[in-house]
Amino acid sequence: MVVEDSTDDLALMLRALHRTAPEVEVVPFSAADAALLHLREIMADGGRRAERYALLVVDLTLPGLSGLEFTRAAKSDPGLKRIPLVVFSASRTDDDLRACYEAGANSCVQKPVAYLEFEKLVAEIYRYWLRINELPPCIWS
Amino acid sequence: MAKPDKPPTVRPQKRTARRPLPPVRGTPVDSAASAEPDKYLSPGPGAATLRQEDAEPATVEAWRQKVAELEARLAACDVDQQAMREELEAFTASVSHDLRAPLRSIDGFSQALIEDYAEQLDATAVDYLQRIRRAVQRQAALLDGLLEFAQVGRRELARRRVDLSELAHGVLAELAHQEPERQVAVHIQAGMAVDGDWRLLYQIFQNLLSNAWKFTRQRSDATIRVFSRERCGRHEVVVQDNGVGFDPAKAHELFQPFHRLHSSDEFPGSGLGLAIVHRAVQRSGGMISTELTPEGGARFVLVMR
Repeated sequence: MVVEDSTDDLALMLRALHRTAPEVEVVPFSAADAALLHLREIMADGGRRAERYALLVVDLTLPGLSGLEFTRAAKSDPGLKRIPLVVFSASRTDDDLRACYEAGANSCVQKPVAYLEFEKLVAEIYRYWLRINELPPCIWS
Repeated sequence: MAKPDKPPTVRPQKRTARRPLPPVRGTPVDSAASAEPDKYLSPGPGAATLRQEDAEPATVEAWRQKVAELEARLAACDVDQQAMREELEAFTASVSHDLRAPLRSIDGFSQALIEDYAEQLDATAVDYLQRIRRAVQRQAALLDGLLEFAQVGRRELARRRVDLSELAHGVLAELAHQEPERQVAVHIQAGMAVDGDWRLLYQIFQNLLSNAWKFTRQRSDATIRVFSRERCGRHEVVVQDNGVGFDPAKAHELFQPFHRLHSSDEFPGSGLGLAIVHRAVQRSGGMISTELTPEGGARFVLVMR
């Protein structure tokens, strides 16, 4: 799942991902509250539905519920907290980093301006979190 | 309208013993506005007012009142300053985020055009798109520089022993890594160390050495030296190159932001590097000056506290 309000960033992310891993399915949300609601709905279903998210990628500055608030909510939810969460944002102040990790983020990555670098990072995030990193046996258990 | 240089007019007020403050010098205001005197409080003219009071408070109670009043004004100033600092920080954060995001779109979609529509674009079209992308990189570098410049004065400092020789080696290794084709002879005196904030010192040396690296580009025997020397009882650290140097008549402009002594086509850069160095040196409580070497290269002389 990708929570990103900028349609440009989302399009560039999808393009980058498509070039590295065309098989990956991305579910985009432009608002954090809708994304959270959707995740909790799946949970309420007993977690047996096919939509199992292996990774949450979240922007920080979002309209309404912020990325930080989303992280806090997801990481304090017993059913969601085990899904790896990567904060992918342009801002990288010391305060932001501290707050994100305190909220339970598993990783923070700064969005670069240069597209080629951006593309490389998206591929790296995919490679590390979905190829190298081992997911919990059953995310929804 | 009160004239700026006119002494403060004292208007009788019925309910309070407080006198209206004079308008801030250079800011003519309608005298009716003095009903809200705090609005015009500023350290300079405010201080002058105290001396201009024609009578001292007569009783202890009046003195107490006066002190309490001044303390309240001081507290208000502190609150204002804190608010301004926070506003500035928020502004800096939004600059970093909001001005960056459109650049990523411009760069990303230009690149997408080049790659996805390669067959439909002729060489000229690709060249135009590459120009757009280069302009984006320049703008991004400028933004980074601006943010860095704005933050030099605000960061918390942690003073400790810093090995300058090691720091300089690190910076030059980074530069060599970015441009492996460049041949630059590097001479760094071993064992130079100062007490200071590592981040500030890194900013100083990163910018000075990048400069030296950049301005020796046209020389096949490019040489950069970092060494220390004693002058007039002062311990100085020198960063010296044998590059194009600068016009000594314009040496004073070197440290000003956005002042370039060379064209950006010839030597690309944000025009902020040395302004950042200057600020960082000031913040460290040190001094920096420039000299030309006998062979015409640039020499930056640092005196650290």
